Amino acid sequence: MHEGAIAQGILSTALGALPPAGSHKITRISVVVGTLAGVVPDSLELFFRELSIGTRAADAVLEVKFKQAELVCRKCNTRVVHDSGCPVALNCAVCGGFNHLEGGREMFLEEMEIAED
Amino acid sequence: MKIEIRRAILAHNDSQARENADWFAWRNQTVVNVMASPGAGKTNLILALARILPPAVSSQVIEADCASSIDSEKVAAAGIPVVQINTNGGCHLNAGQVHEAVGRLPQPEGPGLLFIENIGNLICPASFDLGEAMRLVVASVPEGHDKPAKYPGIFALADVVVLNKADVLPHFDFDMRLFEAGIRAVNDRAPIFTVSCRTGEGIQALRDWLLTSEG
Repeated sequence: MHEGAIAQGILSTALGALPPAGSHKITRISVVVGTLAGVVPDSLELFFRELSIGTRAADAVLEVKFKQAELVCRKCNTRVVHDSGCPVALNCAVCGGFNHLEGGREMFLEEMEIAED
Repeated sequence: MKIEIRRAILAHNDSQARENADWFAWRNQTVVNVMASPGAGKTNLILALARILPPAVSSQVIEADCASSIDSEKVAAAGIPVVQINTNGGCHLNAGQVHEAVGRLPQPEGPGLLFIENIGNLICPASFDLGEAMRLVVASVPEGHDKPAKYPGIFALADVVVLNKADVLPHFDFDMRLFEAGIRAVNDRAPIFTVSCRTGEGIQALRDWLLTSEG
């Protein structure tokens, strides 16, 4: 349920990036979230909808782009996408060497679209 | 119209965390963020470490729980300055809560350690920087050797991993090799200490490491 704090972060960042002049509303917000960042999209959407009521982001579509973590073999460098629903595969499927997990903890607001209100 | 932003979502927490870090430096405290699942032994580990710190090294504790002051009473009974945060259901600490809590602690007598016992949870606390110098993740034998493979996020962030309750190892099918491989799959650098807060095994070695690698 830390998605509440994350939704608030998205909302504040997006509202803060609105042009100071003119009356704009936000129509779409794109965020990039690593699959290991522990963000549940439904929960994020729910908090965002509640928190955005009465703001210029009230009608914005919240788009979450997931960024996969990768398992990289330390021995033969084979890279495979880590399925975040599965335990970390400790060994490389090709050579049996030990894997290393890369990425997946990203969490940033990439861009947004605005329109004249 | 499209506006490119590329800014961290938790930027507000991150900037509060940087403020905290400056404050900790001014207070001459090395701050250790202690994270684990509920019941892994966070409080007992903090007490076991504080008990054997050299006299010149002060210790203070911030305790966080959903409810109750059970842990802070335990710490206070050991004569250690402590404040309690109750999150009333909140699953993690944020930098603002820590800032407020530090304001309720006295200025430490000389340099020392400030332990922040985070909410018992292996997921949410990993997302929130508190301004700490060190992240200590505790696992315990009864939880099983597969915790790093199941909760990679928090183990990836650890500066040090402590396996507690070593005294019950003979009674569990705990595979140390798989536990270590799980950590190494996500974290190259964190040393792993096997300890028992109950018998005191391994605590001295962890203390020595903490004192020599402050931040």
